[in-house]
Amino acid sequence: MVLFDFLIAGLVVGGIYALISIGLNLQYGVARVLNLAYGEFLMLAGYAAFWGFSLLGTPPFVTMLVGVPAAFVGSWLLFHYIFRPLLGRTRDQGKREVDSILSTFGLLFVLQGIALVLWTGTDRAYSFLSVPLHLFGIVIGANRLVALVAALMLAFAVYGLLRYSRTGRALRSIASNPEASPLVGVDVERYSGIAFAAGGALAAIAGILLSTFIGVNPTIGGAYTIKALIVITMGGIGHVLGGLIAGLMLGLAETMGALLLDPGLITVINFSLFTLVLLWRPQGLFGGTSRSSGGGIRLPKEVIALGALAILIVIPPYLGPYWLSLLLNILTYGALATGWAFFSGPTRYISLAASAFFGVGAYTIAVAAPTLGYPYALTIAFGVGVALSAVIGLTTLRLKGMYFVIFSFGLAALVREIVTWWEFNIANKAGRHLFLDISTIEIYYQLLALCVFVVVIWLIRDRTRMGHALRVLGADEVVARQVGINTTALKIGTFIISSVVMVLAGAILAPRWSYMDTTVAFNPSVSFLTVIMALLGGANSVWGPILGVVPLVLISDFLSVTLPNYFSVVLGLCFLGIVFFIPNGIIGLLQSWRARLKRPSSGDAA
Amino acid sequence: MNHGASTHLEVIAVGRRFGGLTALDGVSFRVVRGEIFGLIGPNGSGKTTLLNIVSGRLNPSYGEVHKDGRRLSRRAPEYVCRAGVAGTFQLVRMPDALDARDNVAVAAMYGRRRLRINAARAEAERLLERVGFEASPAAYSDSLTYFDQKRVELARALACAPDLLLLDEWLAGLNPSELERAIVLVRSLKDEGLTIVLVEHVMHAIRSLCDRIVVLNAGRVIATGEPEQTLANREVIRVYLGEEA
Amino acid sequence: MIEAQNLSVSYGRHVALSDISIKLERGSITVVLGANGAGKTTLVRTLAGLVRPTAGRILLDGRDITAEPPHRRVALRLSTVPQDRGLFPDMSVEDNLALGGFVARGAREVADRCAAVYRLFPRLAERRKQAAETMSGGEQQMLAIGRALMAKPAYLLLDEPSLGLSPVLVSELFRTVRKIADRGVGVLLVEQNALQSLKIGERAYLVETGRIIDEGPASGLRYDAAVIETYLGGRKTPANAVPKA
Repeated sequence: MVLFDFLIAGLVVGGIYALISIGLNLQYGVARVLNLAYGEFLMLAGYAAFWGFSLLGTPPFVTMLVGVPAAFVGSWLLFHYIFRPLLGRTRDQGKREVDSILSTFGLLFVLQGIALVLWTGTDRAYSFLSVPLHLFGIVIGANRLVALVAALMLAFAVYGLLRYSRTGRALRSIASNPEASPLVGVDVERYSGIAFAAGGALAAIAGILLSTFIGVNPTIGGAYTIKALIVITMGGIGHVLGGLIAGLMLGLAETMGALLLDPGLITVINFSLFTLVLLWRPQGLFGGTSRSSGGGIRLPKEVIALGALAILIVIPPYLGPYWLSLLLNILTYGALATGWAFFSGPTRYISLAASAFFGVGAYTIAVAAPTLGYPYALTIAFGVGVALSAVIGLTTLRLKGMYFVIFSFGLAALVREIVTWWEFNIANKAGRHLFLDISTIEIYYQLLALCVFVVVIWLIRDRTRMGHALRVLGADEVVARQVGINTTALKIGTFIISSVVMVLAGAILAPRWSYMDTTVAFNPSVSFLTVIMALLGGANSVWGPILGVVPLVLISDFLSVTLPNYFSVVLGLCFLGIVFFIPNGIIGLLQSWRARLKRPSSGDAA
Repeated sequence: MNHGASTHLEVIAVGRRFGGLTALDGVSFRVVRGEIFGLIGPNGSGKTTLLNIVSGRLNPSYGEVHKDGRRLSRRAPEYVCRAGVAGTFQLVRMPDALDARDNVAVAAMYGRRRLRINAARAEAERLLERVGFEASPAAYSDSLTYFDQKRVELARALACAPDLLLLDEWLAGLNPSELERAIVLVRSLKDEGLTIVLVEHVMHAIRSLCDRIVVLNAGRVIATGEPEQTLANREVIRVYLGEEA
Repeated sequence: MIEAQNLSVSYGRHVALSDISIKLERGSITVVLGANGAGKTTLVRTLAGLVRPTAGRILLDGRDITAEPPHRRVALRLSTVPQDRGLFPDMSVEDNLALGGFVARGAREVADRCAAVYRLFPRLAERRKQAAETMSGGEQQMLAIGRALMAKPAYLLLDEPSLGLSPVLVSELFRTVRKIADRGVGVLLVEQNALQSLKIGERAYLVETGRIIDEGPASGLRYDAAVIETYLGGRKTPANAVPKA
């Protein structure tokens, strides 16, 4: 009977996951926007319900009457003014996907930042329909039951609309073969907008329902987005019923796993299931035709910076602690951003996992250095980095870029969860104290060495065959394989190098902290800042990331002093601006100016 | 016809289905070493599908392809390249991330020879000249004519150092004078010892170049032999023109 | 009548169509012939609105539709069946047809038109719940044409409908196309299958490397040496006919 309880509980959880994922299915399957900020929509709707209930006494269902249409309109505007121009910018399928990923990643931080500013990080909960019900021998809150029932009803309603209505058929046609839809008279742009808006509205419904039994705070969005991504991938992108079944499966697996293993390992269970499905059937359990990926990039540019290096070597003794700390920050992100771009630049596989690797490096030192000494600990960190990236690479890099992105997006949460669980259950520690006899200046020179290392291997790579192979790979993987390049090995190898650099950055910086726990080590803004800096400078050139690091470190330093609450918002807006206006970064801008000066008559692009 | 000639490529009862569509239905033929072999047939007869299977881009649903007696089908494209097979695509694919010279040089770096960058670039320039490339080797795809892009593709295939070359409608879309030059070029490649499999619609090229041809229709072989007599075959005429003139 | 006036289309530096002018009248079949790469598909895609011309314009019943997006042209009663048929592979026959009737007003109208299509293609009625990608080539072609008819077009563009079909199916196909035209639809038939299409057509154009090199009544072109040579003999430039090795 106990098993039965968990079965029901699993279905309830699963039903909620299914509910969450329907909207994203429409947004990605039809409108072709991989909305990493999806969870933030849920979060905002949850806040609306909370404030409506707490301030005005309106029950959530009434809030829905206002909130859902508002979400529809808001999402439609977002699609019309941001995503449509972005997607219309290029006909290259791979680039469009990358653009939508990056812009929604930036949007995520903007929305989270706004919520943080307006409502602080306090968890907000209210009690609505929390009456316990006795059903089939188990106890379940009425609000959860309502959510489950709503999930099922919505799923079937959406499915019915998609199957039998004229608009639904139009949406399905776009998900099925968007090139053929105009031939039957379907305005793809208009209906994509409708799909995206409907997705936003569905997210609002889900968010309001969830708020009745789960507290809201600005950071809950990420976890929901990850779950929704996993569910829609498992169910097959664009298949609503597939998403329903996948959601239920995920809920069941999670509940069973929590029962058999440990409730603290939920993300691990999610990702294990996800990985299994990816390895067995990447198009999802119900998915069909796949989509292509690819991209076009520019050449790297050579700038002599040995002078800068010389200055950096000589200057530390003359700097005060503030400037030294600032430089340290610049070098840390210099290593992170360049290491990141080493892989993600040419291959166009966008990794959102920098904080995972950085944290692994830092935490390994915290665990191993006190007992084994710093040099050994550093070696161990190196080994862990190689192992972790090898596993991820082997699993996801054989598939299309999208799976890798999704995986990387959840990786930080995944690793943090595993480490937290380990610390709590096996090591019996809440955090680690770190007192290593390593001065700031020593750390400085180590970081400088790491930066030099990654720059040097990049420069070497540019001059060797691997640089060429990577450029072909990023531009057209089919051609790359046809001329004999083992693209899988190349991707994995490059990914390992890139990840190890980020791990070492964390390991080298670790002694700066006297206390470390998983929250300190695995800070999500590291992922965000790494990517934005690399993109600002230009991820395809060896000097690009560094060009992006310097201004952004200065800006973020300035912000953290003057407007600390607006950190996320401002940087998120910067991120969006970069994706929109300078997609190839500063280096890309410089290159196109140079090209325009050389060629008076420009050739026309297709 | 040289009866002692060795079989270079053997297609053994190859079939391929896409859902309910049968693209190839038990196709078999042999290509002799050093000959120019033509693969012709109306659109949709399965020619490109067959070529994609030989080049490793596609797996057959059943049947096998052998080269020099060893299995070639169901292998990764990288393996096929190293086994000595290279070719061009039906729709030109010239990645815009590299200029013409580097497009070709990459193949020399990773094909069968694994040259170093400088040697590969020198080889690339030599091959571009060989195929009659007329623009600057530093040009990118967006500033090249269609024929020049095709030449880059051919040079790239040659840079893999293959002994079997697959040309998928490489001669399509050329005006008469370009066509004559292309025919001369292909024949010169055969003279260097390459075995060439040609998928074509341009009958003039087929007649001028091919030693033997095979005619496909709706996924099946309907005729094989020397071009002149095969093209006079009533069945072939009917399949191409729809009916007898 | 649909009129294309001096259409030119380029992809980057590649000129696909150059100064093309054609006319398509209601109730008649206009045939466009040419080898692969000649630009036939580009012509269809330009008329459908999927490609924008770099010069020239398109008039539909006197109205300039050059700037109209493809989905609007369907509403203006111009339907297209592309070369790859453009079906929605995971959707059923029924759903594909229903989508074809997207521009119709009301479910009743859609149902009526659907019934008419089933009368024309009984085999589709038998398979109405079947997914499009699981059907054979001939059935897919039927579905594609049926779907296009659901929009009650005044003009229908067909890009190589005989692709991959057996000779028997091709004959059936052309009979159906003639029937459609007899009901008042202006059909543009782009084909490689010269003789059968010329038999059912009123007017014909011959395209080579993006230009029209011959045009006239279909019956006249049937016996035109240029047509026959292009398809079987291949063109031999008198001055430098290449001798066979």
